[in-house]
Amino acid sequence: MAGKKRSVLITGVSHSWGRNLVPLLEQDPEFDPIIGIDFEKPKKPFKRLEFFQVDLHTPLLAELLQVARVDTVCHLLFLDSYTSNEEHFDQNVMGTMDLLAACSAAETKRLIIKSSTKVYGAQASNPNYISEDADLKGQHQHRYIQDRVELEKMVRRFSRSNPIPEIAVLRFANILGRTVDTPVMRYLDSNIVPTCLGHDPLFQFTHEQDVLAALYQAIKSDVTGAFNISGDGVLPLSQILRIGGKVPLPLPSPLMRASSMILRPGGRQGLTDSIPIETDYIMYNCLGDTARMKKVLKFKPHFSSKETVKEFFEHLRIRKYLPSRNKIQSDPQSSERMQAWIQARQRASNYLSNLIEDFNKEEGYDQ
Amino acid sequence: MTSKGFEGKCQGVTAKGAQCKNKALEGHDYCALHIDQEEAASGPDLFAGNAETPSEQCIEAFKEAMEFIRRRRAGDYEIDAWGRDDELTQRLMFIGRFIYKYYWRVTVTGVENIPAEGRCLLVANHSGVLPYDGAMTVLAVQEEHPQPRLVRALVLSLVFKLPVTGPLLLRLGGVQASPENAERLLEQDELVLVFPEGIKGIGKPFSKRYQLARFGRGGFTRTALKTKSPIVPVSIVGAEEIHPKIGNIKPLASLIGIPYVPLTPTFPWLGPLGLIPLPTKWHIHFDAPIRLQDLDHRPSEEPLLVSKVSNQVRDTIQRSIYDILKKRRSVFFG
Repeated sequence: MAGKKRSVLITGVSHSWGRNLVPLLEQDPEFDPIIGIDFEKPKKPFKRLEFFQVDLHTPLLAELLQVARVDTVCHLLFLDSYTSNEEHFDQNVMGTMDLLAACSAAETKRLIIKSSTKVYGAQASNPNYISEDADLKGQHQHRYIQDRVELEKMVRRFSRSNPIPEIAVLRFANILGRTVDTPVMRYLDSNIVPTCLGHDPLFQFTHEQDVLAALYQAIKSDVTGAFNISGDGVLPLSQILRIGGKVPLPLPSPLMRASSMILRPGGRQGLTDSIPIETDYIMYNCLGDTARMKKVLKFKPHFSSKETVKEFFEHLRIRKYLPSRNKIQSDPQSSERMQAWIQARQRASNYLSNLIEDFNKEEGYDQ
Repeated sequence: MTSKGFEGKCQGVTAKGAQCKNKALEGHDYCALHIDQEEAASGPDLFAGNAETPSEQCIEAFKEAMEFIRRRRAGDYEIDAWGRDDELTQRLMFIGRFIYKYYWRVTVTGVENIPAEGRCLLVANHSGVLPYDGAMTVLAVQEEHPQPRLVRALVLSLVFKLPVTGPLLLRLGGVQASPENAERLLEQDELVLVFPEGIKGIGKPFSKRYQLARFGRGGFTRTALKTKSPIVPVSIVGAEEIHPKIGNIKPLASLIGIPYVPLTPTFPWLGPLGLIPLPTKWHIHFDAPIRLQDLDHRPSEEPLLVSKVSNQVRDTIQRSIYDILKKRRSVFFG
């Protein structure tokens, strides 16, 4: 494979995951061309990315894949929504369906899909560590998990009847990081955190950098099937809140469930809807078995669950002291360019001064 | 440390690693050069000298407790992969030890049948309305075994559905009973304790005491066969009488969502006091391991083998229980 160019297509490059993954791929000369699609314009320009502002329903997708000889598609476009939203469903599930169809028609070799361990559903009867072939039970309250489950089930059905493309699904445990926005981050980001009275489930965490590293590894390698991706180790919710210095607000679980039902018809969101994490997930364990990640994908996460949590809370504490990012914003790429420019200038001036020196020596002006 | 030849001599070690030959200071075991080694030997102690008087011991204990609380509050502790909090468990161990030694006065025999290392499945009879027998078996291995090992007790999954009990048992070392969990534990060469009778055993009426209930569906044997683990049958006598269950308030049980609400001679008549178990005399016996790793079988023979081994384990436990009961003269004094 060395030296051979590979063509990749990334969906959702204007959203946080695509936005962070593309620069990684741009650094690797093996990937050429890199095509990105999204229905929004990216906030910052990319170096080499070929961007098209389309959604997944575009009829030209199959032709694009075929003409560009795309051999790997990385599907990152997914919209989180807490309540039933047809528009999101149309993008998340129906969009993926169109993407699968296009990949199949264009005979794209590989498709990589980002998913979540939440698809297994948190239940008291779960084994402590759930393996990848377990049933996807999901849950019923928040739409974004339902959509994921629906998406994964569709992918399973599809791959049973179509051998091409080969599909790798990466199911990430709760993701924490600085530049992304995930439900569990919104849940932990208040001073008083509601918990379930008498329940203290174990959590796994993935650092955002590990997410990108795992996606990158999956694109580079040729593994197929589902993988649970998570940092090593587990933490109980109570310990997470202690590390963060948060005050737990224990509520009886029937109250938490009921409140969302009672308050919903009035148009206002219920208590649990304002808590961006499903009641089940703060009652029972939902942990992925990461043996397959280590053995087959050969991926070793850089951050353990505890390190991820610690770093996240450190970021939360320091955040209020940082200048607001809208006003002062320096682009890391432009500092790279600046450095290159300075070095070029220095080289030029060195060259000039050497020339002058040589000239002086020849002329014998030194004495 | 003080050997005869070094009376009055410095106990310190020189930079080269040899014994110091200087004379010790008055009232100390070290010379002026090595006096700091004495401080190091007696631990970091702000109050000079060893904490020998009761008041200093008190202060020490208090300081240590404050440090413990501070660390717990900061979330600075480790939880293992199964949710067990080792530090907390060690702290609370004294309660269990007191009950083990002085309340139920547990006699343990055959503890050497548990291998000192490697995977092993302990299979025990279950009784006593509340699962004290699991805790006592875990303690028996830690107290009596020549090489104390951590026992992972598999706990009925119902416990994890209910609030409070689930997280509590998890922190103290319980693991939810499921074939996947048992297999994973044994693959990691752990010592696993399982009660195949489950709810049928622990909740059986007083009149049925010491008669083993059905041993599940043989799931424990299948797991042991799959992971090639030896099975050690465990017979527990004494737990049957701690809460004599003479009745069951079924409507209340189904309302709360638990399998039974027991009626005992003390509960619920005495209120919370009725929850105190009776001080019976216990006997835990570990039988010789049944080695499954030597068994060579075709896949088609496995169902037969499972039922054979399950019955063998059940018979062994039942026989040992009767053996112990034959010699028992009193429920409370053994």
